[in-house]
Order: sequence, then C-alpha cells, then structure tokens
Amino acid sequence: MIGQAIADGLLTGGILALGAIGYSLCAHMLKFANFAHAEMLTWGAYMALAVITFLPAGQPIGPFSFGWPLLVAIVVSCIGTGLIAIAADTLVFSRLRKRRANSLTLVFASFGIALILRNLVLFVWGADAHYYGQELQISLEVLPNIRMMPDQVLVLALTVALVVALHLFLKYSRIGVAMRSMAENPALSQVCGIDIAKVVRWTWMLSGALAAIAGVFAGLTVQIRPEMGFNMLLALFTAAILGGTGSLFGAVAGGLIVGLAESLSALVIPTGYKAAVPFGLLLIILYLRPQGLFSRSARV
Amino acid sequence: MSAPVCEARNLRASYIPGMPIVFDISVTVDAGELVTLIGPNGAGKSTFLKALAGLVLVEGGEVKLGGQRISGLPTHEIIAAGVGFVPQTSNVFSSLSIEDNLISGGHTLPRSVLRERVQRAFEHFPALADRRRAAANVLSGGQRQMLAVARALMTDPRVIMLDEPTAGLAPKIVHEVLDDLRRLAKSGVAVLMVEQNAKAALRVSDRAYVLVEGRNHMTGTAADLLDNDAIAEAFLGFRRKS
Repeated sequence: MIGQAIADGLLTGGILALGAIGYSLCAHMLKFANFAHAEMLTWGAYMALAVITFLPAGQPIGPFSFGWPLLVAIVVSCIGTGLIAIAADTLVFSRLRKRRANSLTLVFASFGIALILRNLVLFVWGADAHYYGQELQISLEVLPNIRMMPDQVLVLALTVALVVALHLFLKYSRIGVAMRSMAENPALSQVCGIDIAKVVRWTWMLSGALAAIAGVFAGLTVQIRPEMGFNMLLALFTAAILGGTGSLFGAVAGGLIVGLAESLSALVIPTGYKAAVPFGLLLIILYLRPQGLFSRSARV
Repeated sequence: MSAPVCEARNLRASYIPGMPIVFDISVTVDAGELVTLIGPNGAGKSTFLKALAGLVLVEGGEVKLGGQRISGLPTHEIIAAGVGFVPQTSNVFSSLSIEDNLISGGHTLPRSVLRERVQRAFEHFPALADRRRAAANVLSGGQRQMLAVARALMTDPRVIMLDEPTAGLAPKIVHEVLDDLRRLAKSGVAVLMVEQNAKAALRVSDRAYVLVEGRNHMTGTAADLLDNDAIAEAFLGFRRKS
C-alpha cells in the first residue's frame, strides 16, 4: 500500500517538478509570481490534443497507449506554448516592466492572463474531459506489489531525462550561462554584452515548453480538462517555493516532496482533504525556511 | 589626425527623462591613455560613465567609438562595438563560478575564441586560475576587482571604463589595482575611470577631467592637476605648503 502510494506520488511529483521548474525559472529571472503559468500546462495539453486530432491515427508504440502522433504533438505543443508565453510577455509583462511597474502589478496582470487563457480553452474545447487515446493498458508490476502503467513509467523516465538535459543546458550552453547571469544581475549582464530581451524570450520559451510537457504528461496519465492547470497551481507554487525559487534541483525536489505528501496523505486522511496538503506544506515552509530548502540565503 | 578611441561631446544624461544629472560634458580618450574623472560626490561622474555605456538615458550630445556614433544603441551593442565596463558595485556574478563569470564577459565571442580568451585571462590573472571552479563570492575585494577587469577584457575592448575600481579596497591593494590599470593602458587599451581616490589615481593617469555639478570644470594632464593648488585643496585632500 505504501509502496504503491510512493510510486503514485513520484509520478505526480515528476509532473509537478516539470511545471515548477518552468515557473521557478521565470520567477527567478523576472522577479514575480506568474499565476498564468498553470494555464500554460492546460494550453500545452490542449494544443497537443488539437494536433493529434488533425494527424492520422497511428498504431500505439509498444506497450504504450499512444502512437507517433503524440510525439509530434508534444513538439508542436512545446513550441506553441512557448510562443503563447512570449506573446503574453510582449503584450503585457514587458510593457509593464518598461513602465517600471512593481512586482505586485505584474502578479495581478498574470491573474488576468490566466483568466483569459483558461476561458479561451473552455470556449474552444468545452468543459468535458478529453483523452489522447482510448487504448486500454495493462499495468506492470515494476516492484513487488507496486504496479504502474507503461505510460506512467515512460513519463517518469522522460521527466528524469528532461531534468538532466535542462541542467546541462543551463550549466554549459551560452544562453544557459546568460540566463543564470541575468537572474543574478541584469545590469551587469547588459555590460557583458548580453542581450537581455533575447534572454527573457528564451526563458519564456523554455518555461512554456516545460509547462506544455507537464500538461501533456498530466493529460496522458489522468485526463485533459480546462481546469487541470488551475488545480495544480498551488502544488506548483509550493514545489517551487519549497525548493527555493531559481533552483533547478530544488524545484525537482519540491515537486517530488509535494507529490509524495499528497499521495501518502491519502493513507491517513480522507482523500477529500488531499488538496489541502500543499497548503499545509506551503505554510510550514514559509514559516520555517521562507527562502526554500535549497537556497543559500533569503531572496528579496 | 585620427579620431580618439572614445569621444563624448556635449553629453547630457539623466535617469528620469527631462531631469538631467549630466549637463554638457565632453571627454576624449586615446589608445594607450589612462584618463581619470574626478570631482566631488554628486558631480555626475558615475552617471556620465553609465551614459557612455548606454545604461542611462542620453538626452543630448553624442558618444563616438573610433569615430562611429554609439550613443543611442542598446548597451549590449555598445559593448559588442568595443567597450568594456566595470561597475562600482556588484561587478561580478557572485553565485557563478569564476570561469562562468569570464564566459559571461565573452558572451558575444564565437565559441572557439571564447575558450582561448578564458585561457588567456587565467594566464594574465593566475590567482583566478587556481580557483576557476569556485563561486566568485569566495574572492577577496582585490580578487573580485581583478575578476571584474578580466571579465571586461574578454572581448578585447578598445576602451575600458571603470567606476571607482579601488572603492572599498585596502591601501596596498589600491596601488596594485591602479598599477594594473596603468599597465593595461600601456598595452594600448584606452582606459577611462572614475575615482574618488583622486590623488592615487592621478599618480598613474595621463590626463584627468574635473567634473563639478554635472559639467566640465577643468581638464589637464595628471601632473598639472597634481601641481594645481586649488585642485589639491578641493579634491586631493591636502594643502601645499607655501
């Protein structure tokens, strides 16, 4: 029972981690909490659904529930969601930054963008749940008494691969170093010859793409609904804050802790209270270590 | 006669549009020359330097680099054109490794050149090479300044601008940093610095400009300014015996 709860928690945590990394990157770089980030997960999931609808149905790959169209859809969805994030920045956030708006104004603007994006999904796709496929899967016994669907195993493996790839990108690529530089000191980055507008676009693209993947993974392992992102919002924020905003591995650890806490809580409290677990965790973190577990010092 | 490496003519600059802090300042720096800007607090020295790098609003006048107008360009393009800039505070990325600080400084360089320049920086500053993987926040004040200069030199700038490079340093380190800047100028780079420690700065400079209330007040060779009683009393902190 506990083993199964841990496996389920790790799966939820992995998806949360991908969403939290994207949120954390933007929050660290642009110094505000983007409440519209959760809607990027929703848009990512629905964009992939739209692409699949237009592509010819493919045979499922191996034991998985999906065929090659979903792989194409993920790529298109990453680009599309990244472009939505860039558009939101160009049309709203960058204009506010130029007018020296404070971070609270940016937060409220992000509420507005979140409402627009969520209601656009409702308008286009309706309120009903959707699925990427109707294939039935047989669960595998990955460890004694722990069963997982092949899709879930793949999602976990891809999450690990993505985190490692992102770490290498941020550590060794030119743009990754520029992103880390800008997060610490935008003015100094400018005098290093870094085009900060370009770095900001890269950040939104990366953040949008990660949100899209998280959205597709959530859609693949649960279902696609207009409020799926909104329902994950608090858990994403908790994961990012728990790990320490701006810390890649912190966001991963935060996501896993929140996912595990949610899943394990179902063993001791009624499942109806599961959604309150991130709230509780958030309060405890903000009280004990507001800078997060993996931050050296408090950030302003 | 060839154009100076860097020339600011009648520069007017502000942080808030319509409220200039720098009025009508003109400065030139030639290759191999070390020029210092001195003056009282609030004279607009740092703002002037930031205006040259495009970090504050230029409302009038112009800045040329090698005869080409650079005022009005975004900062990253000014840097790419051949300007190195070392701010007074927060002039290194504390959370990044020493090597990543240098890589950030060479952001505009092709990858093959970047590696070679990082290597060259470590050869020029061996104290940094020993700790290349350490975060920059472990460095002492003098070493941080060294790293800031090394970072600004990554692109082989035609002019390097430094805002109070000796601020907060121990007296012994002050002279080492200024001697390093003197050597840098001798190597052919144009060096323009703002310095509160005017006496020490003038001893290594070729020329200096005295700025007061956002305007040129006086200019001359460093030796002449050191010999000038009024300057000595007002800005150098000593009175000559008659």
